[in-house]
Amino acid sequence: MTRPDALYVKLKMDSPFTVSRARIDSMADFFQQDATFVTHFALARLSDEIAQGKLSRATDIPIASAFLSPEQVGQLRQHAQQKLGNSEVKWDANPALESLLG
Amino acid sequence: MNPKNWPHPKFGDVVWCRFPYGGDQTTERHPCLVLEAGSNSAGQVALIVAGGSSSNKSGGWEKPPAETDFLVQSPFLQAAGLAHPTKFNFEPLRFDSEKIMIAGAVMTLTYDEDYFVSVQPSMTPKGGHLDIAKQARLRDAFFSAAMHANLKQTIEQEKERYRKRPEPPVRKRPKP
Repeated sequence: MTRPDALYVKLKMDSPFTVSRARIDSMADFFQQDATFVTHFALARLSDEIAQGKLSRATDIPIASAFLSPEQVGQLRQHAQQKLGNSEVKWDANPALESLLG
Repeated sequence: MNPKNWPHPKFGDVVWCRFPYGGDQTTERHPCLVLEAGSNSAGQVALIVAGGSSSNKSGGWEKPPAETDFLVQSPFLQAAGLAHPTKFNFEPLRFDSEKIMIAGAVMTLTYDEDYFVSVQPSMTPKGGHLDIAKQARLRDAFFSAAMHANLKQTIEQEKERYRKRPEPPVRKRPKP
């Protein structure tokens, strides 16, 4: 008998990109479902947002700005940027190569 | 993070790199030609390099082994910090079904000690510099290889790949 494929997730503190057990439990209560439902539902919705082009990189994580001041939203995005590392590279001007490649 | 004493590279620099040919991480260093350099807001430097390979001591190349190779030989070896004729390959990366590179030699890498190796006398990865735009022989050889390999498009593809996924597309080494 083959073992079903499974994902084991270590829960963390609540942050813009991590969740705690309490947060999952509160969402499960909200939907009157269990933690497995919440996990699948969240990942399916994330996948859907990527497919729709709403997310193209990890720092695009939307923040519930309705509950936060613009300063707090800015701080959270900055925190996410630092935590994830900004991979958006600004390439140097390279006129020598441009003239060679046309 | 790249060590602070490493100068910011530019087009034409020859740097020493553990280039992961075929998707395999290696300790062997190779000369690589810097095609583009850039940095992000955190100060992390990224380079698009073309992997190189030197001829052995007894042999040499008079013509590029492949049309997509940019061959550097005498009298430009000293300026490049190279001891032997060296070809830099402009082939784009090709991947297997798991998105691991299996071929190609133009690649974006973060400029740090994970892949780049300091060499003497500068004690930085930079071994030398080729003034490609100003030297007619170099310019012609570069242009020919670049056109055969469609280098312009390859560079754009590499920028996009790195934007989406900065980690090199290589096989992870098994833990000892």
